[in-house]
Amino acid sequence: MRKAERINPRMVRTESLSKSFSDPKRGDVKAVQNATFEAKPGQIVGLLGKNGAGKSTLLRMLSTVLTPTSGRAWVNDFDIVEKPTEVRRSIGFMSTSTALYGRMSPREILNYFGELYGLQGASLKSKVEELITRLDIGSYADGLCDKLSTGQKQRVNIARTLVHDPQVLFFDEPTSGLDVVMSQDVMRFVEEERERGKTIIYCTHIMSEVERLCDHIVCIHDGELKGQGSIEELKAQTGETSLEKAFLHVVGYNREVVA
Amino acid sequence: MSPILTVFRKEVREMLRDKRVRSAMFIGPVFSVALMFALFGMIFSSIGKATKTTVHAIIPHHDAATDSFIKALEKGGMTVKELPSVADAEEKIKKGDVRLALDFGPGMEAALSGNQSFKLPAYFDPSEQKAQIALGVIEKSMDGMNEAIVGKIFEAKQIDKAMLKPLSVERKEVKVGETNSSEFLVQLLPYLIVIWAFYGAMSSASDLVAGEKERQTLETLLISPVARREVALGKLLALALASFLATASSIATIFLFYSLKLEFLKPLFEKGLGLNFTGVLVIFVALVPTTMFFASALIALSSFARNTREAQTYLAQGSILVMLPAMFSQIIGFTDFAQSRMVYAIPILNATNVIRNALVGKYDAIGIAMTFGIGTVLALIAMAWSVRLFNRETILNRI
Repeated sequence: MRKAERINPRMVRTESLSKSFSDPKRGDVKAVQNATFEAKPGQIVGLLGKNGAGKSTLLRMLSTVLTPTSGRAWVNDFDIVEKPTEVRRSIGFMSTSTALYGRMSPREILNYFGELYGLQGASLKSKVEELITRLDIGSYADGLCDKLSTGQKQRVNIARTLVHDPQVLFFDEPTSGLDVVMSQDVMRFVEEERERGKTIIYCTHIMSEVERLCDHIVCIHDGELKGQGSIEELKAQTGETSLEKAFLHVVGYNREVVA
Repeated sequence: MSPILTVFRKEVREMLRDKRVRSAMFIGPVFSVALMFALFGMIFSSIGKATKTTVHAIIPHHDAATDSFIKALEKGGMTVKELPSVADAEEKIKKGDVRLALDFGPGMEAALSGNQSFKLPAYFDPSEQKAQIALGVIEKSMDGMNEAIVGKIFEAKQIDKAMLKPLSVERKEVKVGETNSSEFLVQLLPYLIVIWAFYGAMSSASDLVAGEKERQTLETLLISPVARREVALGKLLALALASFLATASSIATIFLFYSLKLEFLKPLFEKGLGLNFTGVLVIFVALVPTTMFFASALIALSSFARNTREAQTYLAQGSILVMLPAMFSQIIGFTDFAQSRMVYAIPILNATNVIRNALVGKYDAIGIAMTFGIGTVLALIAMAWSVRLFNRETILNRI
């Protein structure tokens, strides 16, 4: 049993987490307001919302890239403001928009990030080899990333996210821009990680992905958490027959759908 | 391994694989110094040839005075060719076929033998630099003839020939430095060396932070457990190395050209290359904090930008701040400021001045210490600034 699971079954926990910033054009923008939710080991929590709803801001606060304006959050029992380094050690973050270093090979990238996470020597080498085999990137592991296809790059990105074996994984729209085959591959890897007991926060606006992957759904709209629960719970709460309708109901778009 | 070293190694590896950076670190400095030597070597040797050029002369009839003057010119390395008339000479000067024509009209022989002065008309295009050089050679030959003519008059009147020039300057050069370099090298090389220290780093600076923001690879670094201070320092050290290598390339090219001993470069190196081991050491002492300062300032400027293009705009503006003092260093020798210790208090100008002095083997310990000290303080301030920017989410998240 993992240390974090012993200490606290809630690997990710937020309490009234908020983030606002001032924009010269839009004034004071409340990107996330009073977000409270939690995620357990072996669970995929879906952050569901339209573009610009605040999903990425929430993930970036949890990954310590952004500092919350108010509220608190813990990852692997570490406070994200007080213990950012420990939080970073516990997480892996992946998004389709994140590029790779074009003038480095996948193997070099994995070694680089492995070293940044404190791995070295034989343990680093074996971890890198394991990921190269598991993600089937051996045939292009030593070529430059600039020459790789989108799908190949995404596999390397997944390997980079997993190189330090994090207990918590954040996926920010990981299938955006990918073809259907690669999207299936990405979702398969996410499912595998859940089976390994990882806590996963999965950010998306694609309903089919949420239906396939997520154990718990957090609906976010204009920076506010409008509702949460399992798919069945959301349907029951809203009286709708599909997740899509339930989501639109929760965020206040039910009239248009019914019409 | 220290995370700073891990980031440093990765950045250096990526930089060396980038053609643009390799060009700024090696090809650019080598090419610019080579080009400078080629161009100035050509100009200097062309000036040397101009003193041995052809002059034209209109000679209605040959007499002793005319012939002895022509002999004096030929002795000075010039070739004299005759033209039929002044009108013909003017026409050919306008066409560019003739640089300078002397009109040995009637009266020269008579005037000189009657102890009277004579003005020899010289026709030339004043915008033609080679004509000016030829005129200088002619006037020098004429000085010799004048001395001979007046000498004979003095001799007849039993006056000491030395009284031809009752007052003259006797040059007594005092050797200040341990070595010597041509004035040209002393003026131009410090500028080139410092400019390449900046441009060597500038090519990668936009990529290291703004480029990473644009590609969103910076976020993966910020999410790693490495402290942002360590990320900034790793990048900064890599950039400082790029700056240092560009400078070292330019200095190595200078030595290379000096050792080749090419004929057309002889005028540039006629006093040798006054750069010995101590000189090179002193130059590096001045340049290490300067390169660190450049690297830190460039990282900070790059942090402000949202993307590579914006970063390049900031960096180009920053380059003007470097170029101005570096350019001033080329003419500082004409001002009293060059002698003042205050020159060592001005960043960049102090480094160029140390290099300038090192080229003539002049080592001012206090000046070198001031340059190193001020450069180090500035580098530390710029480092603290760039590290601070790396900790500001409003800066790093400007996408």
